[in-house]
Amino acid sequence: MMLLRLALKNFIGGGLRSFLNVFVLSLAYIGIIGMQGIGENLRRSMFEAVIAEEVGGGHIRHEAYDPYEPFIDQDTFATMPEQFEDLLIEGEGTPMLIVSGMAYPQGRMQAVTLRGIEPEQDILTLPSARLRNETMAIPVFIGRRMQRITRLEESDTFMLRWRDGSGVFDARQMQVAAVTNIDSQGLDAGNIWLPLQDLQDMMRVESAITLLVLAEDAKIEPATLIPDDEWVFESQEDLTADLRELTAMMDIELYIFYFLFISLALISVFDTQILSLFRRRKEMGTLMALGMTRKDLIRLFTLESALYAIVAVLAAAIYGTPVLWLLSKHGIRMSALDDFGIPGVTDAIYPCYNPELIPITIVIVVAVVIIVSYIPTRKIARLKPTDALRGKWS
Amino acid sequence: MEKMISVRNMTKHYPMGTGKFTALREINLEFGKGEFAGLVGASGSGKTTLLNILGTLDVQSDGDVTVLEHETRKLDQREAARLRSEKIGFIFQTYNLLPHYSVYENVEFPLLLLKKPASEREKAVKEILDWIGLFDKKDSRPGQLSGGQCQRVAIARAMVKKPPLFLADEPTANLDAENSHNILQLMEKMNREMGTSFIFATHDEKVIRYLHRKIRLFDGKIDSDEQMDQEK
Repeated sequence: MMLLRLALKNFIGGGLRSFLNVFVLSLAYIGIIGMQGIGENLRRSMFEAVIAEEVGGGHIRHEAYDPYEPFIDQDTFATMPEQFEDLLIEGEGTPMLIVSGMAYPQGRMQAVTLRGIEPEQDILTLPSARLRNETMAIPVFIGRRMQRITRLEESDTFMLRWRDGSGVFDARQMQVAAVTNIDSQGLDAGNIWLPLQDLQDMMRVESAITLLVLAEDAKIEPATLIPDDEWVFESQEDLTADLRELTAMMDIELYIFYFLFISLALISVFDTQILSLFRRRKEMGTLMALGMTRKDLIRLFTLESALYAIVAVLAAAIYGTPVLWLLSKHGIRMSALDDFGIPGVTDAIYPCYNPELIPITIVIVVAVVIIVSYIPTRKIARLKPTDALRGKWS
Repeated sequence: MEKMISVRNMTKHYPMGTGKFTALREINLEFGKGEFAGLVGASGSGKTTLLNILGTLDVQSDGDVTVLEHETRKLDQREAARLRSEKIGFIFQTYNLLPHYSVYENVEFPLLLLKKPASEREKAVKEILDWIGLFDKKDSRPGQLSGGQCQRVAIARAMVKKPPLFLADEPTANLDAENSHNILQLMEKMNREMGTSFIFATHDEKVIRYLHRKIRLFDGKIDSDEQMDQEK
């Protein structure tokens, strides 16, 4: 208790030095919690967006379809097997036809992927309902990234050319029914969405599909639906494997940030401790002459540093809470990430803070600060009182 | 006279380069209760070294030193700290007050180390501040006091635990004549009224004039040890 009282007194007496230490440490707390919030948001949004817009509960796809192949061959789709019918009736799956084409927006040429989707589907969160437009010959919708590339606006028309199921080129005028936000970049840039039935008609392939997207809560066991080797089941886990690798990489980057923030705080505390030990040698000598043991002196100086870390928690709570709250409410503009194609990131990131993280961060920082401040303080153990009184180290 | 300190064949060396420097050699001394003695001599004569050894801040290289019935060589760091805390009051040339603490807190500090209860601390600090005439400055910081006032606070800090032995290293070196005189009178009063023993390390003539016993050191050896007129 006595040491705590003395440490508190020295902490207050430290004035600007104490204030700067507390400020740097509180910045570290806010930085770590903020970065974690951003990381958590990215991780969550990426998975949520990809699952909601693309993956659903998994895919049953044509075995020849390769989502990474930019030019889709004519043999990557086939007539939908009867086994899938029940799933469609139960609303636990939605078919998709994916083919290559060439768009000519405003006289320019643009290779595109045409994605036929049921306008009535509600398994994916795409705005397919916008395709229920009876006034347009063939309504399509595009994402905002695609809109930036093609400069197409709502109601604009453009020429689309494709090869049908027999390999014959055909072309027709399309009209943009909607320009919409699509979080998953892979479904936005270079993609044109149109009604499945229209695309099947254009391709002259009745009932042909490339894949069947399963609902997340589909009760039917997918393996029982696979009719033959022509169709392959890919689970949600298979389809998000790349994403997990990406988030694991991002986690490493976040750890580097934590390390930098903690290092910043620790360098500050370490420097202060070293400086403090050198500047306060005479004070230490006096304390020893008055009867304080070296052990208590070490405890006193370590306690002073622990106070920096604890007061920094309060400071961070006072000015950091509104800052973090504002960030989570208004978000951080992240258009650069959007252009890099990180799915789930549109205009801004809205950090979401993990309540478990805050006490963990506090405990880690306080513990590390105590350890770091203890290291230079151990020098006191070698200090002779007579040398300390003269302002020297032994 | 009751014996407080005994020094027998004491020598102190310091390492210097590959050899050693002898700061004190073959010192034999005794101090009794209620002494007002001074170790005098030029700079480098070994008086501060001897005072530090008597105060258990340093340890002799050879010989025996017994302070208040404790053989200093046998004391570990913790026991030495306890002896200083309970029985020895130090007064330094540069006062060595704790800068962030008020006068009251500086004086209270030794009692905190002794884990005295709050009420006892308050009573003792008030008494001592009254006695040295600085109660009205109790909330001031050392930086707001004159040199003389700081040294009086340092004396109060040493006095508050009522130690039987005071060790003062050049206590008036930073003070003018008037303040030196006041401080020395205060110490003499304590010695007279409370029977507290004082051992000074000084080469200040103002202090030497007050001493009852003068031990002159020269090149680390005792050159003379004489009782002054007051005692004669």
